[in-house]
Amino acid sequence: MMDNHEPYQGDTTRSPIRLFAIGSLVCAIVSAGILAAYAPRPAPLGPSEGFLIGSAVLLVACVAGLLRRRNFAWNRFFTVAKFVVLMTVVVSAMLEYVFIFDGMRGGALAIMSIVLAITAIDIPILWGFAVARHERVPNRS
Amino acid sequence: MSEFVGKQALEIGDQVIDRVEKAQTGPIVNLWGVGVACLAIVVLIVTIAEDWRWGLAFFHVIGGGVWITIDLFMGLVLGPILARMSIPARMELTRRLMPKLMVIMPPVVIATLTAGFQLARRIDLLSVPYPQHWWLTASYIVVGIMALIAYGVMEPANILVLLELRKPQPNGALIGKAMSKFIYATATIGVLQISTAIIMTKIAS
Repeated sequence: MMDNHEPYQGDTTRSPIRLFAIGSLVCAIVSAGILAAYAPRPAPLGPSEGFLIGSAVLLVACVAGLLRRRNFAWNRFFTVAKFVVLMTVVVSAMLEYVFIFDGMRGGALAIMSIVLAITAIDIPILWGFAVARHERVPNRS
Repeated sequence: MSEFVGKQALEIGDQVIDRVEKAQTGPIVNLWGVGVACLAIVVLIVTIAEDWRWGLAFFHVIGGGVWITIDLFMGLVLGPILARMSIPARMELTRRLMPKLMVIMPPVVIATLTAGFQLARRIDLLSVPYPQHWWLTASYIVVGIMALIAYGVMEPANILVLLELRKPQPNGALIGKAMSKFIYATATIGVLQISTAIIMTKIAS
């Protein structure tokens, strides 16, 4: 039974899930930004790859943290995330088209494609979590 | 007379309930607006595919102008006004404003950035040597920070407010916190937009 007598202020705790998701997004943006800063010349791929690996690791940590969360409003999470996934997939597909249209090939295209894929997963998680974390669900533990 | 007034009041009450129920169960955003946004994206794709210079300039200039204006207006004009409004008035304004921004902003941002990059590539601006190239690098950094604020803070707050307002009993405290985050994020992006305007005019001059 939930206590509804006091006004609920939302989930005010600092969450590592949000931290990991934003960290992953930062690394992905930096990884793409390094390649963009060199355009149209070929960029050294090492720094971009480093940030990309960092982004992927943080995304995995974010998903792991989310799956371990107890009493989480998964329905609310998926209500938001499914529409955001649709949006991010459309935007990512459009950017992928622009990269290929511009003649990007090889390692740079692979990095950009993975950056887009990570972003397309990261943003729905971030937005879905931002809404679902404040939802009160009955304690099942 | 009193019967007539009573009947009218009942009708108005029914209309209000009907509108509230529609607002809570219908789509969050206007579907016509989504259609127009999709059409704009299709025209943008065709413009890029055809390498149509006027179209690229149009999308970049109009999109950039709309983006900067909305951010500055939201953050520096409407934000302080919202902060001084009563909670019900703020909620009413938010309920009507946020869905519109949700439709307008994504295509505006996509059009500005992709058309801008294509335009810079077409007029050979991307291959300018350093130190002039630093202006381009600076613009990428500013866009990166703005994207981070928009995706990490602004839009999650926007969606939280929209969904909370659809509940039978919206949580005022939660909406207030999310709205203040949204307004601060918009104001920060507005200030960053001024730096973008400086960078863009420097590149163009």
